[in-house]
Amino acid sequence: MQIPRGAAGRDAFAAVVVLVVSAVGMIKALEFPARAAAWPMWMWGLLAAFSVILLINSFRQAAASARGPAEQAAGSLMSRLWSRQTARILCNVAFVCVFVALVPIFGFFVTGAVYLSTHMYFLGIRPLWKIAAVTFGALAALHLMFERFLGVLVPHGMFF
Amino acid sequence: MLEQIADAALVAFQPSYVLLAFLGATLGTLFGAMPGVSATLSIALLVPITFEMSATTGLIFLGAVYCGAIYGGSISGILINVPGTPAAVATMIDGYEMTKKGRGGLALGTTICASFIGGQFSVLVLLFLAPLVAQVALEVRSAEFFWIVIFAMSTIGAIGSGSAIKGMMAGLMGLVMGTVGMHPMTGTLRYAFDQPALYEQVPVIVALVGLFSISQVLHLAEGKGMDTQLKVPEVGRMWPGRALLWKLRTTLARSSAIGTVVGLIPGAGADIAAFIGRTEARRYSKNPEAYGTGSVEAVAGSEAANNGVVGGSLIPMLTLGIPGNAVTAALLGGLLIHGLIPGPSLFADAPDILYPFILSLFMANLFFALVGFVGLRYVAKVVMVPQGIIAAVVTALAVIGAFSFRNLEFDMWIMLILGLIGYALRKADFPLAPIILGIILGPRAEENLDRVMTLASAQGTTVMGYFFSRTLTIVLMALTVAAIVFSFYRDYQYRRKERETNGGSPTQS
Repeated sequence: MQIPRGAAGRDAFAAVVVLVVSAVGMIKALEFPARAAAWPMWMWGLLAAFSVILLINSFRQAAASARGPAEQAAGSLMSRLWSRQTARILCNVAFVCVFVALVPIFGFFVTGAVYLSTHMYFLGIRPLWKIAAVTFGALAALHLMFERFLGVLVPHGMFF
Repeated sequence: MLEQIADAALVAFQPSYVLLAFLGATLGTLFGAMPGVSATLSIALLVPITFEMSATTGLIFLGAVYCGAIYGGSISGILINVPGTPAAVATMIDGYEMTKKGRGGLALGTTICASFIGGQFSVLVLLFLAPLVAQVALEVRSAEFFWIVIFAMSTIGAIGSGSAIKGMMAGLMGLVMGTVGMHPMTGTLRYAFDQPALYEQVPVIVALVGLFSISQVLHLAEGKGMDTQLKVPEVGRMWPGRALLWKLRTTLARSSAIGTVVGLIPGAGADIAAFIGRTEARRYSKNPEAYGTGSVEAVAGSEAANNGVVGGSLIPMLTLGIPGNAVTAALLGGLLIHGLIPGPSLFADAPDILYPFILSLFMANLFFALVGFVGLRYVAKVVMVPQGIIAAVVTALAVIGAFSFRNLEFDMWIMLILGLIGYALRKADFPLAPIILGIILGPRAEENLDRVMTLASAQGTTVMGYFFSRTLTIVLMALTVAAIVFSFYRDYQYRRKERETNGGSPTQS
């Protein structure tokens, strides 16, 4: 059996993840009374069924590609899983996660100032005065628009 | 109805609402023009602005943003070959070719005129058709409503642009997310993980912000944050002239109608309408070989269709509470915030809000055209905003949007988790719009199914027996089956085409 790679591999991985989540969701639904469990059971069941179809399709796609022209060397498993791009993505995820985690502690504006300037720097925005101008401008505009003008509450922490 | 429209005109054309429509259309155009900021994202980010507004004010603002954003997406596509919104991809094909040949001004001017005509036509249809549909919809009972929702969800797979299987899976993911919270009939808490913030259900606005903002931020942040090579080209004269517009009249009329009809269909958004509009324009063109090389007719065909979607997509949303696409789902979120429950009775219960809203869309179309013709040199600067700046600022706006909806810190975490899920799904080529439709429609489908179960047991019959006793339900069930069968057929074709494109090997990326 041909192991799916590339887009087919991604489909296979997604299908397995969804299948596992569906199974957990169905098991959890068993704890509910029959009336409350019926709809989620159907939905999880259908989702699981579609995951199986996606999984089968990805294997069929892999088999078809094996019969086709020779595939280019895909590199080692490690190099496929880990690359500069993966590291960059994980860094971006970390920036956003840390921002959300710190907002309740330090407040939106203090955390926002640190987040905006560091993330923009990480993303290659130069020169520094541009980062400072955007950070100050964006936060001032948000403060004036939401807090002063519209009266919409933004998260406040131990600082501003 | 005409009396109500006349009364509404007095409200809608008040200076404050006119100003608000202008602001909304301008902001929408600016947001739409930014590469990577779609119409859905624009509305999701700007919904928090309306939290403290009255329902009429909020809706007029969001409606204007919708019109402006759909138009604005074409600007960056034509100028720098990067579509501002997915709906602008079809316009970009010929629009950018025109820019390369020094006719960018004509492309931009034609885009404005076509968007304006498509938008006005669809709003006119909305104004007169929606109240009639609402009257008919009053006769819809629980069994029919349940199957309308199921049919709407099944058409997503049949109509969406990617894999049908993935489209349907995304819809089902939304439906399961819609089960989070308290079951209305039994009071059972489902998948709430002892978090009071999840006792009601996943908040639509927070889900929207997470799925569309955070996933987009991570997507934008993947690329180069700042491209110093990009330059806005000189575009020259913009006004296409009466003679050219007259020559394009059939294309404009056809595409406006296509856009409006496509907008009515759940799952089909402005991107699909734009491609159908372009394809049909080519089919009837006297010069089809010019398509792809800078045809002004192609630009008009796609652009009138994508703005035609605006009015059409609002009809099922306002009359049945069924959003046809992600943008109207975002608007529906805006309605819910103001305590308005979209559905057949909305036109009877709140005509003083709905009619001014619909009339304001005429103004919004006028204002984006004005902004386009008069202020394009300033709007064009937005196209050049580096993606690194857009990504960081969108995150900040998203955090405010998620928190301020209920003033709950936990909502920021819901946003983040859904954003990460959305990003992972995007990477695996799953569409995100069906998820939000599922979150909105799932609880409504279940509620109606519960009612049917009660009615069926009262009549001593089974649920299926009850369904088969009603003609409209049988028709809807048949349509649903047809949509699912067609989805599988389309998926088979999609995979075959993909195999052929890649010479027998799967897509590598």
